[in-house]
Order: sequence, then structure tokens, then C-alpha cells
Amino acid sequence: MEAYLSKYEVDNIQKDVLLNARLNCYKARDAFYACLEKNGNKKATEVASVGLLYPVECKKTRDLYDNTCRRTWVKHFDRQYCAKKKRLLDDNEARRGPITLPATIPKST
Amino acid sequence: MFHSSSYMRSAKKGSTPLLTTAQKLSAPPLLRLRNYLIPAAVFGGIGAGLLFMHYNDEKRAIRQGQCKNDGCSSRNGPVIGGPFKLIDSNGKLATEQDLKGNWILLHFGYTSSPDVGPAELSKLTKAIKALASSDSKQNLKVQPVFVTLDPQRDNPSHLRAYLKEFDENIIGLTGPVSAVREMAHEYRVFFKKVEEDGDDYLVESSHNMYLMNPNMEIVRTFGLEYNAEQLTQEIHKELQKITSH
Repeated sequence: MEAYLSKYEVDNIQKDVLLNARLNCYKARDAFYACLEKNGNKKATEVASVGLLYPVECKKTRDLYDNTCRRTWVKHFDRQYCAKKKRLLDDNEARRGPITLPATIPKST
Repeated sequence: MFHSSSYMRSAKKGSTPLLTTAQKLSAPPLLRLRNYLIPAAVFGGIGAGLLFMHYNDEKRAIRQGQCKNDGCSSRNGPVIGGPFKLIDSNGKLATEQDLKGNWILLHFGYTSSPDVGPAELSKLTKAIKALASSDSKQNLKVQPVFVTLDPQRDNPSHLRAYLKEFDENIIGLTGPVSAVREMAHEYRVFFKKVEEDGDDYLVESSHNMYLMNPNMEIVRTFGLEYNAEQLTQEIHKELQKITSH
């Protein structure tokens, strides 16, 4: 206990996870994803993280996002965004192939 | 009739050579006895083992109506929780004795959580405030307690600064990694470091909230699926159950 206290007694407050910084990060994040949605038809050439690509038009919002949030947070949100996108694509009926149901075997009498 | 008699005859014929071969082998009677004894001992042993297991299970099971006071029959589940020795956000030693006597809403998390952590804490705060203002006649005070799963980064002063933004009254607990891990185990909380990136990392964990009565017994657990209103309602129900008795 004493060892823990003496090690951490220094007032080391990480301001980047407190309310203000958190809200700023969320704002920058939402701005980037909004840009991504708006420019969905453009060619995605820039590399974000976790395999996410984005068009060069969103570079500015991306840089702000990268600078406002912790790296691990950005990765976490990018991953979440990709998962959401994938789910949306999977739910899109038009993109689905035909469903082949097992043929019903007529009852032999 | 004819069939059976012929069968009998053939059986008689067949049995005589068998006997003679056994005599030819001339096994000592002790060996033949062993042939019967060993399987019997093995089966007997298994049987005794099964019987013992059955009685042992029966002894450990909690029978219905075994509890004398009516409130306890609903709490016969596995024992969750236990004593702890941690440091609060003011840097003072805190144990389960400091929490006894209050209704507690206990939550485990970490301050570097990107989204779920803050969302859960604001939910918890909303519920606590709603309960306090819902009924002025009754004393519906529930003490919120937050235990960090990331004591290496969540030192007392940082924890205090973080929790203060949600509610002044939240008790924050941190401490040596071993003590935190022990408490998390006692409360069946899973946690794991993920997404390591240099010094930075995220913590994956279970997000349960525990409602505990003044004897530090768990009354209910709430998962992510509860929103602030439902959480308030359910806690209110539990508190009323006790006060109406």
C-alpha cells in the first residue's frame, strides 16, 4: 500500500481523458466520419488505421481527429466504424446473392 | 416343440467339450477365483465412488426453504464479492468496512475508456441523482463506488479529477495491481489489456454494476442493456422491497 502511494502520490492527471478533451475528441471524430460519408463516392486513397481508407478530401478533418484523440481511441473508433459499415453492407438486400433454401422433399405416400 | 428339443440337444453336446477344455487347461482354483474378484472389486469401487459423489452433491446443495428469513432464499447463488483493501481517491486506505451500512452501486472501469466507461458512469450518476430526488419521504440514498481496473494509470488524484466531473460523491478506489486484481476476481469481473500502443492501451472488461445492500451482499447486477431510467426504476423497486418489509 505504502509503496503504491509513494509511487503515485505525484499529481499526475491525464487531462486528455477528462470531460473537455473527451468532448473535443468526439467532435473531431464525428466531423471526420461525416466527411467520409459525404465523400463516399470519391476514391479512398489515404490510409487511416485498422485498414480504413479515406478520400483525400477528408485529410484535414482526419489530421484534426488524429491530433485531438489518443491513438488507441482513434483505432478503437475506426474499428467500430468499419464494423458498422460492414454490418450495413451485410444488411443491404440488393447486395445479397440469391438465397437457396433446401428443397422440400415431397412426402411419399 | 421340435425346434426347441433339437436346440437343447445341441446345447448339451456343445457344453461337454467346453468343460473338458477348461479341465485340460487345469487352471488353479485361485486364478479362477481372481477372475471373478477383480471385476467385482472394480465395479464395486466405481459404485462406491458414485454413491459418495451423490451424497457429496446432496450435502452441498441448498434445499428449498432451508433459509429461515424470507429474504435470503433469493440470494442463494454463488458468493460474489468479499473483503478488499484499496486506496480511495483521497489517498486514504479504504476497506469493505467503510462501505458497510450503505446501499452501494458498485462499478468497475477505467478512466482511459474511450466511450463505454464515460457512458456507464454518466448513466450511474443519473440514476443515483434520480433516486435521491424521487421520493423525499424515504431515504433512497445509494452510494456510488467506482473501482478502477487500471491502477497503473488511475492514481488517486487523477481518479478524483475524473470522477468529480460526473459526481462529487462517487467514491473512487484504486491501489496496488495485486489488490485490484484480487477484488476484481472476487466480484467475477473480467479485464484484459488490449490494443497496446507504446505506453498507451485500452482495457477490455465486463461492465456490470452491482447493487449491494448495507450488509455488502449483492442484491442485483445490471449490465449494459439497462438505460438510466430502467436502472433507476429497478433500484427503486429493490429499495422499496426492503423498506416495505
